[in-house]
Amino acid sequence: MLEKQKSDSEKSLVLDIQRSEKDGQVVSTTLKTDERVIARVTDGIYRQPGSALRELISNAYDADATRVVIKSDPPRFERISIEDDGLGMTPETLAHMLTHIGGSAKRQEIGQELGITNSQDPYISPSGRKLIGKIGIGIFSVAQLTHTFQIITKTKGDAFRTVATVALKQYSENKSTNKTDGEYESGKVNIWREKAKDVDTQGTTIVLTNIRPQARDTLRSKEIWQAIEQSENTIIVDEHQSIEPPKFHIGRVDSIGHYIKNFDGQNKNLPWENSDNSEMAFQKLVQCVWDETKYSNPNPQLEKIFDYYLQMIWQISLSIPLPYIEGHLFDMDLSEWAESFQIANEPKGAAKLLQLKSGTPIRDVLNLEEDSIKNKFDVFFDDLKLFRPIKYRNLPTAGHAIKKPLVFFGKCREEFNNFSFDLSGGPLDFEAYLFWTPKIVPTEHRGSLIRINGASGTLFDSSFMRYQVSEQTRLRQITCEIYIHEGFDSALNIDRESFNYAHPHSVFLTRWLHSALRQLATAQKRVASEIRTQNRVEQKRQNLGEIQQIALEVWQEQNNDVDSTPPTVSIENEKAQQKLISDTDISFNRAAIISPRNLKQAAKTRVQQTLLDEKIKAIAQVLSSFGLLDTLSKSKQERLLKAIYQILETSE
Amino acid sequence: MDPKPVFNSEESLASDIIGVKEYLPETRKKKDFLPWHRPRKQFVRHMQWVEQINKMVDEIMPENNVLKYLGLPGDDLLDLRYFHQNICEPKNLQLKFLGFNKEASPDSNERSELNISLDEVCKLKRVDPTSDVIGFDICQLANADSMAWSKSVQMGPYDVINIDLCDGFGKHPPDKFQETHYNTMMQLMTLQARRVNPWLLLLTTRTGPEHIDHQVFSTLKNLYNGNLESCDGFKSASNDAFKINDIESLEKACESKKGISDVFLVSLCKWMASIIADQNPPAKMEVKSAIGYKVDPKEDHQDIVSLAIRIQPTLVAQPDKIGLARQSPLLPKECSMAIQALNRISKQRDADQILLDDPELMKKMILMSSSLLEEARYDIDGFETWIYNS
Repeated sequence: MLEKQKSDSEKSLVLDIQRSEKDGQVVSTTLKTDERVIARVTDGIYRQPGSALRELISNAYDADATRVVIKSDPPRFERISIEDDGLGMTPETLAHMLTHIGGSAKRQEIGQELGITNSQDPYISPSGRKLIGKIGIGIFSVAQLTHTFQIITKTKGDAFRTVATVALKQYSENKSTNKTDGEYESGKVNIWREKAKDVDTQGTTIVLTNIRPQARDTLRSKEIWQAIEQSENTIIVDEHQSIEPPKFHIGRVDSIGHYIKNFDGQNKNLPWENSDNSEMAFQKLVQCVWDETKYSNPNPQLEKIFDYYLQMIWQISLSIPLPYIEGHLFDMDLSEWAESFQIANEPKGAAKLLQLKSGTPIRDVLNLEEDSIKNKFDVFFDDLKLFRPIKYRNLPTAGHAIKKPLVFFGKCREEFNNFSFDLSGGPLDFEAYLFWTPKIVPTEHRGSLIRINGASGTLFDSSFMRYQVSEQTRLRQITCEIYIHEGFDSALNIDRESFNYAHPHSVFLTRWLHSALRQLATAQKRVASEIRTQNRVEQKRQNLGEIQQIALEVWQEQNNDVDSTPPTVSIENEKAQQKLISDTDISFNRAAIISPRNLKQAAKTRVQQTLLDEKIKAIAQVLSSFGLLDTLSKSKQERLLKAIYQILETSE
Repeated sequence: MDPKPVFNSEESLASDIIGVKEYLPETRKKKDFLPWHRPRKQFVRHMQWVEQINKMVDEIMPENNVLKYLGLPGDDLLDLRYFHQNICEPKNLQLKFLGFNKEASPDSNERSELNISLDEVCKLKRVDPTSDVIGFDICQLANADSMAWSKSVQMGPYDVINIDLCDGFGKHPPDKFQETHYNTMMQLMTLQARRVNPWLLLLTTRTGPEHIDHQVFSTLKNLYNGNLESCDGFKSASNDAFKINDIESLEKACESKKGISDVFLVSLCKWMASIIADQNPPAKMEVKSAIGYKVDPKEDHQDIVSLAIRIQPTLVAQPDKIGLARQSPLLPKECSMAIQALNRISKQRDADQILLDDPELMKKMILMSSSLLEEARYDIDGFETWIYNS
C-alpha cells in the first residue's frame, strides 16, 4: 500500500515538473522518507568533507561522464560546484531520486526503465562502466558540507534543463519534530524546468552554497593555522611549542578575501606554478612528495607536508576511478627494473618467479583484466587534473641490498561452490599486486587498498587487514592494491570508508592477503640471500667501527632484515645542508644540535669531537631503528639530539 | 583598513555552527528585461567588441588557440555566449574566461540564476569548463594580497580585458581608499605587460560630470593641457575637433557636459598611454573604436562610451638612466598616441542615432538581442514591445 502511495506521489511529481515547462511555476515539495535510518543517513554519515566530493564524483562516473570539473573556491570554500557531462537526469529520474532516498535505481530494474543503467544489465552504466553507487544517498552526502544546494541537470535531446534547489533539514530524535504522517522529513525542495536551446548537451551540475562553517574550517585547515598562531603568540618560553606549518598549502584569506601573509611572508606555497597546465600541476604535486626524501625527510607524510586541502585532493585522487600518473602497473614492462612474481592461491603456496620477456606487459602474461579506466574520465579539481598519485619507477633503493622492487601479482576467483549463494554472498573475483620496495612514499601509501569497480573509500590500510605477524619493517615496505571485479560490495559499509570483517568475502580476502604477504616475505628473503652471497656484504661489515656496528646490529634486528643498513646520518654546516642529499640519508644542521656554547669550547680535541659526532650519529640510527625519529618533526628531532649531545658531553 | 581576522573569535559556543538562516530552498528568479538588453548594447557588442576581437585574432591567433578573457559579466553571461558564437566557433578558438560579478557572492540568492548560466556556458563546445565567474568586485584587483588578484594572475595575461562599467571609471577619489579603478587598471596593465602579442582593452564608462570625481578630472585636465603645450600635433587636432587650443579654451569647453566628456575620455586614454609607455619594454596603444549612447535621453551628449583600445607590446628598451648603454631607442611617443586617441574619440559613433537612422540595422540588432536573450532563457515574446514602450 505504501509502495503504491509512493509510486503515485512520484508520478504526480513528474507531471508537476513537466507542467512547469509551460506555466513556469515552481514545484515545491518535501523530501520524505519512511525509514528513520534513511532520514539519519541523509543527514551526513561521513567523517570528512572530502568524502562528499568523492561521492559526487562517483555519481558522475556512474552517469557515464567523461569530464568532471570541481570548483571549490579555495582558500575560502564558500561555494563548491561539481559539473559533469554525464547523462543527466530526466524529471522522472529526479523525481525517483527525491522520492526514494536511499533506494537507488541503480542495480535495479527501475534503473533500466529510467535509462540510468545499461539496458542489458542494471549493474553497469549505459556505456558499460561497473557502477560504484548502489544505495542512493550519494547526492545527500553533500549534507556533510551544506544545508542548501542546487541541482542543474539535463539529458540529451531534452529542450529543458531541470533545476532543483534543496534545503536539508537537521535530523533530530526529538519526537515532536521528526515525523509527520508516518514519514520523516529530510528537506524541502523547489523544482522547475528552464528552456534550453542547447538541446544536445547533457550533464549535471551540483552547486553547494552556504557551506557549513565547520566544514569550511576543516577545508581551510583552521585547526593547524590556529595552533600555529597560538604557538607564535605564546609569551611564556617554557610553554612555547614550535608548530610547523605544512610545507605546501593554499594559504588562507580573511573575511574580505585578502590573503593573510604567513610568518615566512608568503601567501601560499604550492608545488606548481601559475603557468603550469592542470596536468603538469598535478605531476608536480606528486613529485614534491617524492622530492621530500631528497630534503632529509626520509619518510614523507602527507599529513605533515600538506594542508587539509592538498591532502583531500590526494585522497580523492586515490579513491576514484582514474588513470595512474605514470600508467597502470599491469601495462608496464617490468623486465628491466623489477623482479616479478605470481602469488599462489593455495593456502601454503609459494610465489613463483616470473621470467618476463622485454616488451611484454604483465597484463598479457597473466591475462589480467583490471584497467584503471575503460573510457575517458577526466577530473579537474580547481587547478589540477587528477590522476592516481602512485608511482612505481625510479624509487629510492639506497640502504638495502635489493636494488630492484619486487612485485607480486595475484588473480583469484572463489565460487564458494560448497555453500549456497544466500550464505556466501556469491562469488568473489579479484586481481591484486603487492609492491615491495625499501621505501614507500608517502607513508600513507603503506598498506593494502581495496578497489571495488575502480573506487575505494577505505584508502590504504596499513595493518593489511589486521595482519598480526611481527613484520613491521617489511610491512612498511609494501604497497598493495586489490581490484575487486565481483563480490565484496556487500561487505562494504554504507559510507564506503570501512567494511564488515565478518562478511565471508572479507574473511576470504583477508586470508588471501595474509597468505600473499607470507609468500612475499619468503621470496624477498630468498632474493636478498642470493644477493648477499654475491656481494659478500659480511666482509664489509667487519670494517665498521665499534659504534657503527652497534647501530647496524640494532637496525637489522629491529627490522628483521639482515640485508638492510641504517640511513646514513650526517651533521652538516648550514650551507652544506642546502644541497640535495641521497634519498635515504638523514642530515642535520650542526648548529641545531651543537649549541653555540659548546661550539666555542675549544678545549675539545679533534679526536674527542669526532668521537662525539660518531656517537650522536649512531644514536640517531638507533632511534631510527625503532621508528622513533620518523614520528618527530625535523625541529623536534634536532631538539632531541641536542639534548642527548649535551648529556654525552657532560658525562665526559 | 585592517583586515578582519580570518577566524572570528566566537561570541558564543553556538555561533558559527549553522551556515543558513532559514530552512527554505531558493526559488526561481523572475527574469525581467534590463537596460543593457537594449539593441544599442548589442550594437556595441557586435560592431565594436566582436569586430575588434575578430580583427585582432585574424592578425595573430591567440596562444594555443585559446582566447583568454577577463570581464564583468552579468548573471546571464550574454557577452560570453555571443563571443562563443561569433568569435570562437567560426575561428575554432577555445574561450577561457574569468568573470567578476560582485553581486554573485556565494551566499547571494542571485547566484542560482548565474549558476544556471554558468552551467549552460561551460557546456558550450568551445568553452574551457574550468572558466569561472567569481563573486568579487573587479576593484579588489587593486590589492595584490587579494584572492581576486591571485586568480587573475593565475589565468592571465589575457587576450581581451573588458571593463564594462555601469558607472564612471573616474568616479573614485584617487586618494581616499585603495580599491579604485585607477589602481585596478595599473595592476591589470602590469599583469598584461607579460604579453608578447597585442591585446584588446574594452572600456565602457559613464562620462557625465556626476560620474567623475572632481580631483580626478582636475588631474586629467592638466594632462590634456600639458599636451596642448608640448605637442603641436595634439594642439592642432584638439583645435580642429573641440576648438580647444589653450588653457582658456580648455576651461571654456569644460563648462559643458559634452566638453567634460570629451576631455575626460581623451585624457583617460592619455593616462593609459603614459602607463604603458613607461613600462619596460614599453607598449603602444591605439583607440580602434569609440561608440557612445545616451543613458539619459535628455543629455546633450552620449553619456556612456565604449572604447576599444588595442595595446601592442614593443621590444624597445627604455634608455639607460645610468648612461652606460648609449643606444637611442625609438620609444613609442605619447604625443602621437594622444593625437590618435583624440581623433577617434572626436569621431565617436552615436549608437542611438545610427539605429534610429537605419531601421534595417535596428531590426537586425533586435533580432540578435532577442536570440541572445532567448539563449539565456528569457521569454522574448514581449521584447520588442518593451524596447519601444519603456
